[in-house]
Amino acid sequence: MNNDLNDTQLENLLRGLAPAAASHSLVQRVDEELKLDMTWLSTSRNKPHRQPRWLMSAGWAAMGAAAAIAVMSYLPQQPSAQGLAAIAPAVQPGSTLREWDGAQESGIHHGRSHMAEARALVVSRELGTWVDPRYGAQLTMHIPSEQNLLLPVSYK
Amino acid sequence: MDAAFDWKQTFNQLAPQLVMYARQLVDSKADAEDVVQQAFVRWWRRFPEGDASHIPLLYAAVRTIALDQRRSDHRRVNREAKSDIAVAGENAPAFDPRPEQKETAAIVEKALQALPEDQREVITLKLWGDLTFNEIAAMTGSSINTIAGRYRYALQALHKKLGHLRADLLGESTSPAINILPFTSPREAIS
Repeated sequence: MNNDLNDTQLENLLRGLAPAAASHSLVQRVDEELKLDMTWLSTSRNKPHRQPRWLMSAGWAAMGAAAAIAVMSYLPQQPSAQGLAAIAPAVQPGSTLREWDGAQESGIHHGRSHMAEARALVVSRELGTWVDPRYGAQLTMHIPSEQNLLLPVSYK
Repeated sequence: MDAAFDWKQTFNQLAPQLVMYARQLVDSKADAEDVVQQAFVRWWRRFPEGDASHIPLLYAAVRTIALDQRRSDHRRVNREAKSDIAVAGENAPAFDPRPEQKETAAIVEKALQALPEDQREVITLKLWGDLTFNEIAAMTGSSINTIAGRYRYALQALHKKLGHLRADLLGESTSPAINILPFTSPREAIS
């Protein structure tokens, strides 16, 4: 009677022995390392993507062009004579004029940087005119203003 | 799908076999676990879906890292031997047997240790790693015939060590009258 194992029995016998489980610390170490990966991934996803220089310049140029087109589309077109009354806004700005009424100098002072400077109070008036083409009406507004000017003084 | 759950499930399925294989190549269980950690993390980064068709690559990574570590360990051991510092080994069991398998496991472990390393590697990868001869040949850089030959020689050697233990190893009850085994304990078979 042959009691020897055949190949299949031997293979089954060996396969039936389960390898020892990995230690808990190994699972923890792998967990920590993979968590680090996830952290890195999430931070790199939030990081602003640096574009090439030429692309940034092109972007600015494109934005400028878009703004110019938008402004131009709002500019008043040259209207035809027939449609003028229909499309013209009720009131249009006419002219703007600034008139100088006078200046008051308050003498030479020395500023914080010990430089000599002259202070002057300039009084002016702005005349704004608006026209309503439908009725030929004209509106003029006087806007007074005062400005303090600081002028550097140099000595020779 | 929860990625953390995925890797843990895959890892729990593969880690025991991977550690067992790594232990064939490095000195201690701690070293083997280091190897498996590095290999698995690299593999998971590359194949986060844990596709079973990529498992041979995981074993290949374990092999590469273990051989690298062994080379550096040899250099370290040589340095330490010169300075008379002993290097402690570790003899944790390779198997996690059921109570009735404990003696068998001890015998099998000794029988495996007695095999030449290249045969032990093929047996481990084939039986516990579930790799085909083709996959083992690809990862070891040997021909399929060589791998199949190593497996055959390994089985023959294990037959010599284990074959006549059939009754004990398979847990069959034998009456004293027909017990023709020349020993009373399976452990005696390889002592």
